[in-house]
Amino acid sequence: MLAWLGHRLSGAALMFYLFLHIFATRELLMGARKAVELKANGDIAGAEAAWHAVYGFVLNPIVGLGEILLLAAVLYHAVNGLRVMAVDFFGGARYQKQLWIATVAATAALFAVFGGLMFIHWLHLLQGGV
Amino acid sequence: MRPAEAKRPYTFWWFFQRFTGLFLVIFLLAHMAVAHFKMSEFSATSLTPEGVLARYGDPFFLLFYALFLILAIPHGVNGILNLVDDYIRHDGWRTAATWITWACGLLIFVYGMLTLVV
Repeated sequence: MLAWLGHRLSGAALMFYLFLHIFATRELLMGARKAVELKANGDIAGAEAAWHAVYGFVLNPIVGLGEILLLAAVLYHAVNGLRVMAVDFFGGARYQKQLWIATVAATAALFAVFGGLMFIHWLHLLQGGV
Repeated sequence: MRPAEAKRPYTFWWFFQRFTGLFLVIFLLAHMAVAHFKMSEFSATSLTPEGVLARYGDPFFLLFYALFLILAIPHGVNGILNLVDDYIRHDGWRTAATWITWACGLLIFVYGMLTLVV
């Protein structure tokens, strides 16, 4: 029940994120094009501003925190998805309990490592780093 | 009377979700590593406008993301439709939500592909 609910919630969140992400990605590309064009015309300050207008978004600490939550959703959805396949195709139903424990453990371990790295990067962002 | 939702070929979508999911595990983790973690040469240079443009000029990058869109969007649309079928009880609203979900999926698919090719 918890596994199923978590899969639904993380899936819905990921789809919502993907929707915004695709629009934001095009913005990034357009900003990059504009910056390169301005730089070619010798407008260094304009290029800098055009690039910061799009790239500055990912340097925002609140966005950075959201990215850490996103990682948690991605990891859970991926690991639990593998558990679902193990149950459906590889007779995993006999090991339901163990598989669920393994899912929670793998998600937590991956999140501890990669979420930790992102958190370190986030602290770096807070001090104005890139 | 047969319920309206029985029209959807659930068996197909059930397999589809698992098949695409298997590839998405690999794709999504690779994408997170490169784009969100900056864990490659490519992403190190992508912090600059020139780096971003270089990525969009690379055939491997374009193929990877085209496949990503093809796998991820129908997987996501089907996932949302599962929620729509389960939680929206009113037939009319459910039909409307189904169309809106497909429309949103199509919109981001076209927009994503456009970003890759133009």
